[in-house]
Amino acid sequence: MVLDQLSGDVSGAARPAADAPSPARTASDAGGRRPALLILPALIALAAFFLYPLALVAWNAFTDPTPGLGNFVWFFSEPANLATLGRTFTTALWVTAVSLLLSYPYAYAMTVAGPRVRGLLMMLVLLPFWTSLMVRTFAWVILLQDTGVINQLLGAVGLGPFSLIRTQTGVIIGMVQLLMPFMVLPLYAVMSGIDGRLLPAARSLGARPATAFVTVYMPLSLPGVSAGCLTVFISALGFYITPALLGSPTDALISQQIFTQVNGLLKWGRGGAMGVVLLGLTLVMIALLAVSLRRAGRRVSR
Amino acid sequence: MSSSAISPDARPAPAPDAGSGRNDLAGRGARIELTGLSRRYGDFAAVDDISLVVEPGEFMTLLGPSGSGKTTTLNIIAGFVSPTAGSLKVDGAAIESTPAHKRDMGVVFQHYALFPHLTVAENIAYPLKRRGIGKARRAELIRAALDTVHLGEYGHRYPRELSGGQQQRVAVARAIVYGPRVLLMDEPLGALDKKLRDWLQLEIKRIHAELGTTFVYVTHDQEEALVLSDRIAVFNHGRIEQVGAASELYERPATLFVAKFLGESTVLRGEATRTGDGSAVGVCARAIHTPGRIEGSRAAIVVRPERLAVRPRDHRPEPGWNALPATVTGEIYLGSSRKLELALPDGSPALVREQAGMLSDTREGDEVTLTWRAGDSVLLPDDPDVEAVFT
Ligand SMILES: Nc1ncnc2c1ncn2[C@@H]1O[C@H](COP(=O)(O)OP(=O)(O)OP(=O)(O)O)[C@@H](O)[C@H]1O
Ligand SMILES: [Mg+2]
Repeated sequence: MVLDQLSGDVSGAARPAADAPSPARTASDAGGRRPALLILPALIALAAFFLYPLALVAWNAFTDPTPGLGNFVWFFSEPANLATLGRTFTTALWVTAVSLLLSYPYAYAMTVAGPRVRGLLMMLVLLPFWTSLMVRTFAWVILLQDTGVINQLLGAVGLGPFSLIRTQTGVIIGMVQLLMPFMVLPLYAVMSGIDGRLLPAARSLGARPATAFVTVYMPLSLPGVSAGCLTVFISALGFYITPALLGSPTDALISQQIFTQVNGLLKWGRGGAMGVVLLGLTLVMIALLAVSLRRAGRRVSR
Repeated sequence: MSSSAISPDARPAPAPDAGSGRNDLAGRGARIELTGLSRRYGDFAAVDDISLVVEPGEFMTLLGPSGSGKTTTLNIIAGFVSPTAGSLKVDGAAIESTPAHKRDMGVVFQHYALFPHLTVAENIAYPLKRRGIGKARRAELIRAALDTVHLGEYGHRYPRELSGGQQQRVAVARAIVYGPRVLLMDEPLGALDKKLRDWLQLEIKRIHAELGTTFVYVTHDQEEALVLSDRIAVFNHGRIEQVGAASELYERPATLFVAKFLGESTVLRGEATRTGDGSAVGVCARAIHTPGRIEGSRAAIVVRPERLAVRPRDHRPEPGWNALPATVTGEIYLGSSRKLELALPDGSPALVREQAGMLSDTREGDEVTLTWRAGDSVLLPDDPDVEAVFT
């Protein structure tokens, strides 16, 4: 379910925004209502499997067990709930930041590598898609546990042991690995469209290599950065399995708490309220992130 | 500047200094000296031991077929490619180890390489900012550069909002705004249509005259080279075949390759023997005389089409003239002149150009005598490779 949503997201996000008016739009004037017919099946599916359940959840939040704002009052008056919410957002931010730091040079390397190396790098990015989310998360359990491969390797060079599993660090490591493709792919898509002659041109105009990179390449890669960051951040907010298996129960994220409320305590209203709060805050964050990235893009390019 | 009146894609404002011929960006050109320069990729020499001096303020064109090493040479001068042998001096100082951003040269790329996220004015400001030039001075220089390329009103536009010719002129403005001593251009008009190219050639020539900067210009279009250059260096297989003014290359080509690459000509091949005042070459069982002398005996004689004349078959050549029988195989009327295509007895082609008003009454199929002065025969060593390039 999570993955389905994500792959839908990324193919849209990976395309750099085109400014040219689409010829299809002008053609549709003559073509009548045909495009509308073409997206009708998707719209019906979206309404049946996304909007309807969403409305149901929201309805529950305001009506179960009694109509009113009771569930929301409960949510905001419990410090534990607010701590969970905060932890969810900081974890998602960390995952986004670490993914970006790892993916930016990786995607850049893909654009400058020869075709053979590029194919290999692309395969490594896509590799996670060929195994199930569960399998990969359990693999991380084995790698990260106190007597796991990572601690054994660190021990061999005289470091550690570190407690990685059942910590926020472990959750972030696992989530970064699972979400990195959604950062690398839009970055690569945008970077491979950047004209390779722009950097020599900047050099000839008197820019040191680092200056040329920061003033020309980075601003041009920003659409990829914002697409990747949005996708990874939003996906990280809703992650359930990975934090459940790699994290500690005391550091649970909001998706785990929703699960507890609904499945464990059968409090459908409270679960719904948490979902509505998460959705609302996510939308606000998307708006803020989009605005600030656009500003940053404009500032860097000055 | 009347040249701007024929601009097909813009309504340029007149340059402020058009009357006086002075330009705010004018400076002094540098002297560039390439000595024994090579660039090898594995076993392959993209540039093979070339030596060339470009004088201060000169317009030097690197002309040659595709793959002959022009771009590589330009990239070596710009600092994007390092030579594997030889030395490169600018105003007497060796600069092989100077990085590109410290060479203070302007470069105009074939596809302009404008920064798409910056407006025209910001593109032109880019090199000024890298040099720490203050805002007020920057504005003046940007204005002067935009006026120089007749794009005064376009500063706030983004490159994608400009036509190809306008983008090309922005690239020129960006490369000259900081007063570089050298301007390097790699086929800057290659992506444009013929009409626009003709106009921009004149614009580039005018900018060169206004600035006094040393220009090194790469093209594979011989006509463009003739229009623009003070001197032309003809490249072939990574080597320079000849350097000289256009008239020199045309009248006195040093190799068969240069003769064939620049302009049209008739080539006569045969065995050369020395005579008292030059050489005689056996062509179609006749001796063709030329004042030239070469090493070896496999020779080619090159004659330009306007030097050849067509006479009746029974014409007797005067002393000091060569003659060959020929058959007219075709005729092309060009308005100001007429081209006649002929075949020699051995089947090889010949080409004659007659000026309007001096046309002979020759027609296709006529049996004629082809005559020309012995002094108009350029004697060169034969080069069998050349046919491969041109046929
Ligand atoms: N990085 C490289 N690696 C290997 N060979 C190269 C490299 N760069 C250029 N060459 C080769 O060197 C030769 C000269 O290339 P160059 O680009 O200088 O030609 P050019 O005269 O500019 O041709 P054109 O008119 O097609 O632009 C070509 O045969 C090219 O394949
Ligand atoms: Mg080239």
